[in-house]
Amino acid sequence: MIAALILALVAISAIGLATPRQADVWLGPRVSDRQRHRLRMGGFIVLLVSMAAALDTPDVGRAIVTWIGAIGLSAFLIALLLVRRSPRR
Amino acid sequence: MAPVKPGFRTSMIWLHDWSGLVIGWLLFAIALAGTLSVFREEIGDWMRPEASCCVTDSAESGATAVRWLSSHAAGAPAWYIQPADARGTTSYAVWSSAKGGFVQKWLDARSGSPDGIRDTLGGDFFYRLHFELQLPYPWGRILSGSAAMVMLLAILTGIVAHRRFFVDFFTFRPGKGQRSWLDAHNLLGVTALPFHLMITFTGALTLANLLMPWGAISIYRGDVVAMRQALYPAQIDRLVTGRPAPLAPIEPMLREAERRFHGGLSQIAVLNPGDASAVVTVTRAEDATIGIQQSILTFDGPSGRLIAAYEERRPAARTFNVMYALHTARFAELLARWFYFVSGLGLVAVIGTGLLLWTAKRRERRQGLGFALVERLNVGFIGGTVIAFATFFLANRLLPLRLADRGDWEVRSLFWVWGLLLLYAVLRKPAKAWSEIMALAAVVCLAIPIADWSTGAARLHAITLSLELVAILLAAGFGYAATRARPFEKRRA
Repeated sequence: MIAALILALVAISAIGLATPRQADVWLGPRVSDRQRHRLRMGGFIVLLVSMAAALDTPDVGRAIVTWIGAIGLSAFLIALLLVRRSPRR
Repeated sequence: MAPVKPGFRTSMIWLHDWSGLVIGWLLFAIALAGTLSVFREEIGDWMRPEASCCVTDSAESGATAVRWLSSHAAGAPAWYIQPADARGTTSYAVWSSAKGGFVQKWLDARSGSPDGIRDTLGGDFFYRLHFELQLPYPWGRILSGSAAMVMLLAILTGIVAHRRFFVDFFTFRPGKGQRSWLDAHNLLGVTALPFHLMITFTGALTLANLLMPWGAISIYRGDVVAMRQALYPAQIDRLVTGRPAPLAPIEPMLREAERRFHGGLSQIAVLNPGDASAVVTVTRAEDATIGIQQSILTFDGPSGRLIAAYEERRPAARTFNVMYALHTARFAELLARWFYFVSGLGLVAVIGTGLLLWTAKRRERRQGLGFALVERLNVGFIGGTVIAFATFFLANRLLPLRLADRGDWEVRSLFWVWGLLLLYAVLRKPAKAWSEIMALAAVVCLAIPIADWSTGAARLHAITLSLELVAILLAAGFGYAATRARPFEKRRA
């Protein structure tokens, strides 16, 4: 489960950085829409891998609840980490 | 010219704002009490430091509880016991008293006796408050169920109202006044949205029979006995014969139940104890699977012979059990319980920031009596609820151990503090009351670990350390809020 949680954190970070506002602030204005799209897709693929890792257990019900809780809190944590730097304009 | 009709989204925003305000203060307390209930057993353990630590065998603790009840509540028509297990260090027992009403005691897992354990409701107080609101049956349940339904409405309308749901998913812009509060409200609401929807829907569903009783009324035509029989078919009722007969040794029955359940026990009910018609009903522990697989064994009391075994297999009942289990989180292991706890705090914060936004949005437009009342009650309810709940923990350590009705005094201290803080918030200028109440919240939270260690009640245990770490973190957060957060101050451009 720990590996799944770390993967979820990585995936949510990629998805968060791929949003227009965060990409502009953290990756610079030269990042193209295509690159953001790739980053987002990569994030979702890692998220799927994370889910597969979490569900690799006989007790699937518990794993689903724990995994959904983990991605929600990861998203909150990532959003807080992404406000550390004010926009470069 | 005909007036312009408001659009769908505008209507949803209106509904979101007003439904949130009408029920927000109540929901704030319900959500905070529910969040604390996730660690109901652990809070109970912290509040009863005299109880023997770490008995993990629910059959053993159940047997000692039954033995104590045999000599101290022999005349009661029934005993209901939730035996101590790996999470809860005391067994909970409740029975009818001869004077009418119910008696409840928390019994030591080893001795089976309540002697020497401080009188407190522990974490069960927050659990009961969460859906009974200290009101007589059924009013508290109806009110909290209605609040859950309005909350569901507020969440759904909030999703529609949030115009930039995906674009602003990871956005929080601090130091920008109302914009920051809206960002915080949206961020907390959106990131844990599956949790918020699940906990609200399952909460309303748990009390659905009270909110929408018409189905049961039309089927059973007011026959409560028939309805109970259909809901709980494993329940075996026997009429009292009047012929005394001692209860057979309880431990073999409980061991047999453990063997058949492949796990622990969640409840032991003894009907007609001391009579020839005595029945012992044992229910399987609820932490085995996510969908509580209700398994019940019934024994003949005087002989100890197994007379019935029931396993709930009806799809509707099992679906309900899954929903109920998702809400109560009794299936959850430690990590998942922490996720429930933190997500629950997030829900509390969503409600709190929503209440603050209601006044922030209307500050420039009008400042009538209604606005002033909401502004002041926001301070009293948001800050007051937190301080009152923290007072409950503090009272547990500071009230004299031999005080009569000590458990009731703990509850009274909570409501007294709550009432006084509401009064204070109504009378005090909001900008000042806000920072003062936050500072007081920090002091009270910090006082919890200090009182624990200075009164000699503290035990070097994971539960103690976790509870006190949470109290210290909250104290730091409130201390920071006292110096920074002034949501009621007028901001000038």
